[in-house]
Amino acid sequence: MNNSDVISEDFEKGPRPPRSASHLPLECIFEVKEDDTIKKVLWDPKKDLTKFVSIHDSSLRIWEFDEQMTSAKTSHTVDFSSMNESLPPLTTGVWNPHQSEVAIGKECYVQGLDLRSQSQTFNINGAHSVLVRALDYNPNKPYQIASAGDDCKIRFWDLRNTTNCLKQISDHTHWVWAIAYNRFHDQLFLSSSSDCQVNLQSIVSISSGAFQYDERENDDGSEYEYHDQLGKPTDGLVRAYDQHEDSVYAVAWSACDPWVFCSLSYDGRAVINRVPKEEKYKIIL
Amino acid sequence: MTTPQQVPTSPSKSSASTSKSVKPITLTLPRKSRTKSHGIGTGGKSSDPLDIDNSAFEAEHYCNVLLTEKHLSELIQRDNDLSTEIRQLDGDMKTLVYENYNKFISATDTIRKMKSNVESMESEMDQLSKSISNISNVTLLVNDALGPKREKIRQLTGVHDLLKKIQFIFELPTRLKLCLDQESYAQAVRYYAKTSRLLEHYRSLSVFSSIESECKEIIDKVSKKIRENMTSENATGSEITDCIVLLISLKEPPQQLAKEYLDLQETFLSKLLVATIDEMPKIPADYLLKSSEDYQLTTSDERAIIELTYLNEKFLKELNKFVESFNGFFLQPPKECRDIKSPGKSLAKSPKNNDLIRYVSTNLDVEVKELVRKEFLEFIGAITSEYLTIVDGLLEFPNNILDFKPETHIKLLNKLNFAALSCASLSSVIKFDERIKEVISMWETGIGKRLFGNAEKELIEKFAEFSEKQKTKVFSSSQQRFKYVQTFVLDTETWLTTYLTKDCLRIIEECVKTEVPMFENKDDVEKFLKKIQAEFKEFWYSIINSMMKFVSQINPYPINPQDPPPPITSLIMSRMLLDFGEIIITQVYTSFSDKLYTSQDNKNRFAIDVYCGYGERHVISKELTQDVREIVGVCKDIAQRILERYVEIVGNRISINIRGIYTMKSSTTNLTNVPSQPTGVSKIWNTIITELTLIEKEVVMLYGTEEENNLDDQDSNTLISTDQSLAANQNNSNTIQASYAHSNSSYSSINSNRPKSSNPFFTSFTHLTSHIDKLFSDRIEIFGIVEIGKPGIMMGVIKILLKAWIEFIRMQTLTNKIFQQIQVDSEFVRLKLWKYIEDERILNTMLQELASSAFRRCAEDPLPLENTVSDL
Repeated sequence: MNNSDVISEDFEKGPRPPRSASHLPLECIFEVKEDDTIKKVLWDPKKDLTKFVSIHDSSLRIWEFDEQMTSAKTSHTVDFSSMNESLPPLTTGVWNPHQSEVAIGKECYVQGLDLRSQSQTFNINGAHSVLVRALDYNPNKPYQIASAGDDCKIRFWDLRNTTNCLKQISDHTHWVWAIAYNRFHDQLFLSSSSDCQVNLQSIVSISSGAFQYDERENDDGSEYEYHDQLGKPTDGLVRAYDQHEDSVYAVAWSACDPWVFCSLSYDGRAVINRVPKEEKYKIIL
Repeated sequence: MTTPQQVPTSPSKSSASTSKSVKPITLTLPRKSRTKSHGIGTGGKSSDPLDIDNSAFEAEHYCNVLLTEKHLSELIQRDNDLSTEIRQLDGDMKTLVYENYNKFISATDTIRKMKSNVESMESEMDQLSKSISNISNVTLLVNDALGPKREKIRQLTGVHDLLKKIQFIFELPTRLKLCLDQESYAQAVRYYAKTSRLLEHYRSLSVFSSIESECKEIIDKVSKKIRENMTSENATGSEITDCIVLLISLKEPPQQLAKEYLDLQETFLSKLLVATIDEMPKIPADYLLKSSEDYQLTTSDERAIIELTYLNEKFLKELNKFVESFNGFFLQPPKECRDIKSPGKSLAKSPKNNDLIRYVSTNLDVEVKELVRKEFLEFIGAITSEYLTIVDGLLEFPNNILDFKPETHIKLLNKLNFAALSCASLSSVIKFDERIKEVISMWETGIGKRLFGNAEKELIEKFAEFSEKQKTKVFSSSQQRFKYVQTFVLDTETWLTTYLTKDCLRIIEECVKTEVPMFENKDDVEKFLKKIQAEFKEFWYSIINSMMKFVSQINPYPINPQDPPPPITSLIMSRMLLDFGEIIITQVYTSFSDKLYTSQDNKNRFAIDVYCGYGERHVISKELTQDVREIVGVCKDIAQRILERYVEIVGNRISINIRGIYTMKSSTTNLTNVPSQPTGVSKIWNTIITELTLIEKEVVMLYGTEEENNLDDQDSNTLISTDQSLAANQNNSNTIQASYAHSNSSYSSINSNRPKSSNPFFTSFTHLTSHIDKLFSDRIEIFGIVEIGKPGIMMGVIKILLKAWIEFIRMQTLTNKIFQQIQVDSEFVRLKLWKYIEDERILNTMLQELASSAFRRCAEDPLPLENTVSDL
């Protein structure tokens, strides 16, 4: 939503050891001039600080830092502009944590771009019937991406075969604005929507944890008696959080605690929640 | 001693003291027990000297005890008791003595009589024994005299037999030769089988061995001949079987024989099958008449019957025979073959064959037997499958299912049934009867599938054609288009009803009513109906499913994306499904139940009243009601979902229009030559309102409205009339409006409590109020449940539109000018949308939210227009 012509780069959260913020005030290292509106800036999830990616209305730029990290210059620009002006711009993008690839959402399709060759790696045409609003790669399972859009649906795709989606969730009643896999337990999945709800979903059947539970079944039962009492995690809505009074535009998991997440709505309210205990025990026990 | 107390002592010794009871004592028992107790000894039993009935009873001691322990009155009482007891015992004794005396007297009488009789008997016995010894002497004499002669006779007979046999054996070679010349191999084999054991036994004798070798030679020739016969091209199945019987009796290795037999029959039967298939189309039409069938064979349809009969007679009979004999020869254990024999006719007529088979089965290892059995079953299975495919070919349905004459097929099935019954051994080996039954049941489901599948296909084709027409826009005016839509709905519905109630029902009825043995059994008919019922249910489900599929989105798009059907298709489908649920399904089922389920006993038929959507009463038999209810429910449910889908599509389509407006770019370009204040409504909103009007027309056309008099829309009136004619067509007196009456309920409780001012939101709000308002306003579900009926649908579309507007504005940064433009647009929309909406509160809430969003997104100080916007 924030359209600015300037990127402020801040490396405080980057490679330096974290210290208390009062000693280290934020300082602006450099600015990059850009005449196009910037939608989103992506860091390399592998924490490799050589490049970053910016997503604009109709193009995607790959930036490279100089050696001292005092400036950056565009190394490549991938143009998505079409003849038709009225077509909506790029909506979102996400960097694949498993390989050097960026997925972008535009109109109804999701496209993958190899950052080295700038070639298209995959294309899910018509992933959503209206607009693709959000994307997220499964952090623990390669080739799995989730997408959400204006048709109120969340879909999960296997990038090796995109003729059908793996799973579809339609628990929202308006556009889905943000989605996020839990970085530790990718069977937990958050989505937020302009119907003022944040949904915590369990998608264990297609998660990297699915295998683990299959194995447990074969083991002899006594050891997991407690686990059996609780029951195994199953697919479905774990809980819908409706504390927000307005559209929820962003949702994120805590980087250190796998059971905490935060959601932010239009009226400026940020809500921090925990995964319900029962679900947590189902997963860890 | 004279004291009364002592009285009991004396009788106790002499009389039966075991019982003091008053009961009459039997003669033997008390005595026995007494003697017994004496025998064992006094100390044997628990000897209580105080027990009066015990043998160890001591009278004196007893008296003393009584005297010391009892009162006088008790003693007197005891005395009295004892004296009565004694008296009684006395009487008993007397009776006993008398009875025994009587018996003694009669015994004496008897003895006396016997004495007199025995005297005469003794002399008679003497006489008798004398005569007997006489007779035995004579017999011995005779026997001795005849003895030697008898021995001679026996010897002579033996010699005669032997000579006969030898004669036979000596003649055997010539006989065999004769048989060989006359080609009566069976006779030769029989002769040889009789003698072979003998010859083998006496092989040591040169005479016999020469005969044996001679015979063997001939028999070898014979067997060669038999084999020749067997393997000759023209050998028929029964000939082969006969030859095999002969070879078995020649004790050829059974394993090899089994294989040979199997191979030969395999080629023969396969050839026969091919030949029969070739001949089938050439059979003269009067073939059946010859075989005493009195069908009127006129049409080409009944050709199939002729063909099947021919096939059964030519091929199936042979196959069955082969299976029977092979089974009998090689596979059945000897015990069973005796059981089989009694009904069997062609083989094992004599006990000799029985021995042969025993020989075969004993010489055949279990393993080999299994192997042979496996091969045999394989072959039989293959050839039966071939046969069944031919049958399936005969049972094919015509391309146009409506031309189908079930009678022919039923006759065919009947024939098949008979064939299965007559091929008992085939049935026992490979469950031939079950396979035939399978074919029959396949046919039963097949007919349902074809009948109903056809309807479904045509229905979906109609829809596809309709959407194509809508897309290509061949209509000159919207009026014409609407008329087309209406007639389409009407035509399709009536077509479906007539197709199901007339054509399908006719065919099924024919099936049931045909008087053929297969359907005579009530269970069979019931089974058939059940199958049809299941198919019918499936048909409705699959119609619903294909409708769903037709309108549902495909994600991701296929590589060659087809244009999605226009949204009006889903509206029509929803409408039609609603009609199905309301009336058509009930009607169709009613006619089915009238036609198909009345033939059964009235006792078994429980009719249940079902009320359709218009409150009409329908009588439907019990078996069907559950289906009806279920399908009606599903139909209504899916109608709802398709309607929601329609609202979603239309809402999204409209919302896309406002995507690009209000951006900085679009406004800055023409900022210079326009006044600082907006001059009018954005153009796009006019288009949107027009589109909404169009949508409303579509909706009204298909869903009507409860306030027709308010709308002088001609289309809606024509719709009502057509709908009424549809209703009249279905013998329904109720008007169509009744079905929509329920649609205006759920929002009526919410009243607009906001005072009506011209533009309340943009002039008089702060952040605080908007927040508080939001707390108290209901959460509005955007892509939620859509109320069936015009206001509900319009509300759904408008909600989607407004929410999208809000979200779009939130993504923009606004200037004051754009803010004012939004203000104008919002007021315009409020005025225009007002008439579509029943509950103004939702509209107000959403517009207010729009205003507050715009206010916040405005980068400059928002300056709302003060004057009334309606002027613009």
